[in-house]
Amino acid sequence: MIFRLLAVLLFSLFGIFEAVAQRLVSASSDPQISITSTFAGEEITFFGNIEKAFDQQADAITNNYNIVIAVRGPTSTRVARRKTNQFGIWLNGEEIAFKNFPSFFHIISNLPLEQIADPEELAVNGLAFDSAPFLQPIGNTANVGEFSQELIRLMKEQYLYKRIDHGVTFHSDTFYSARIELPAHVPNGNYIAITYLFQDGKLKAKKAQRFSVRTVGFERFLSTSAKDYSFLYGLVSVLLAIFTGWLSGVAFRR
Amino acid sequence: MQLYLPIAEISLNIFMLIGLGGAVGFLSGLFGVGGGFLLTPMLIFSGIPAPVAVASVTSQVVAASTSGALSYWRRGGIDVKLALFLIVPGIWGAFGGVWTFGILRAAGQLDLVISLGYLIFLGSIGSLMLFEAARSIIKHKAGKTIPHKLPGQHSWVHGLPFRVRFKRSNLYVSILPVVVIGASIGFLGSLLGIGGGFILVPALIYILRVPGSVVIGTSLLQVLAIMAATTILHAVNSQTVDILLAFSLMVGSVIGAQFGASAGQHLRGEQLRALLAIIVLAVAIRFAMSLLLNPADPFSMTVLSGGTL
Repeated sequence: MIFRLLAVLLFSLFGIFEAVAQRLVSASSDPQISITSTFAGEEITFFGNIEKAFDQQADAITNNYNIVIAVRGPTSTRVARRKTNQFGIWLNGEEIAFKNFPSFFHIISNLPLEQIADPEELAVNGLAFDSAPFLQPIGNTANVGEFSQELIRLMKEQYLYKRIDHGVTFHSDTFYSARIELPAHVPNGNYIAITYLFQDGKLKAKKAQRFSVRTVGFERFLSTSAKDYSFLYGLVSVLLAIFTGWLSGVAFRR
Repeated sequence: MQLYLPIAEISLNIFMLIGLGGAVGFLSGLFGVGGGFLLTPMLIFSGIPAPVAVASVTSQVVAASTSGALSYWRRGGIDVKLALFLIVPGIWGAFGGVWTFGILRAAGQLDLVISLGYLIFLGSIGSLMLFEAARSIIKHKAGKTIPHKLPGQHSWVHGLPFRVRFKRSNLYVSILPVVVIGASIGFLGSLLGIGGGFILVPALIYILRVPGSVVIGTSLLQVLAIMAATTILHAVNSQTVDILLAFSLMVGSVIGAQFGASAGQHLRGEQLRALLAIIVLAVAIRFAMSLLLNPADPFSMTVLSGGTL
């Protein structure tokens, strides 16, 4: 006890106390989202508490906190294409491919991001759809700016990218919760949700959680057999079709 | 009730899918066509990715042509030898079609080729059918009896070498046009997600002079075999056959086809052909619009390859 007090005294004297001032305790409602035959999207809830560090006095917690949660889905190579008019026909002309592009990206915060931190601080922490790690064009870089904005727009139109400015609710000075909606066409794979604690425009703490979105049961069986046993899958599709056709021929025989 | 389609990776209302299959099945029963040329575009317009729509309709066409082929088989309306001579090159054509499908999909031009293909084939065949039907309707109104147009006994096609006798069809023709027709239908069918019956039947009648008693049955058997092979090729090559989507469509279409067939008995042949021509042309115009009009959104996106976080 005496030792700890001494340490606190020392730390506060040297002013490095701030760096470890807060801890985040966070959790989500579902570690696994199961896609079944009647899946029509699902809500997932994140909640947590801002707690004082082990060696912090209770009154050091103020209520000047901002929480931002970034949820990202599996990445893939995604290509954006622009139709151009050639010989009177509209066809896909220019294209730019982006590798490691997140297939799902929601940013939820208790205030508009601009009021929480400055753009550089947000970008460094990956809290912008167009920050560097999420836009890695392959090859052609002439119109990357325009194409990346259009790609982000297309993702937003499909509700795969979304910014929810007042999505995080504080239930007390330190206890918060947030809900995000996974649409029906949410991509399968591993997801990561990172909770950021900001105070006065500075990042104070961050905590990552993982969850996965998986097809289960019969749907999973179908999608894996389509990939792993594609010939058999095709054969079964054909036999099912022939059987259905034969059955209807017998049932409706005139 | 929403049904999650595991390959298309979207949820659609199952009653909408069965209804769509039923409506197309009704039309196919009414007109005696497979209906793939209507179903594939409708699925694409309702948001299913074009590769999944094409490959899944392929297996739906198998179901639709099986019940038709069976009933012609019972009546002896199939020239099996001619069908085999069409099927073997047809499967090679399907290989070519599925291969081209994969290349176009990677290059981002699949939608363009599907739209162009539909526009050209539906546009030309729809116009021909409408013209022909309008002429016979006008003649019918004028009270003239139409002499049943018997195709001439010989054309340049019948002068080609490598002739083979097809007893059931009363034909002795070169296999060259047979092979070309079979391969073209296989290629187009697998690329566009259509059975190709509406192209094959006129080709058999006007180019090979196949008699009317076996032309539909033989064409159905050829479509059945080619679409079965194409389903497997798509399943192996692009893994885009959605069995749940296909099954929902099949159930709807086989039921709809029964109602269509009985409704068809109350309409005269040329009226039916005129109606079918109008529907075919409407689909062609819809594709022409997507090619010629300014797109609502010039930008589109596709996933090239998956990965994990």
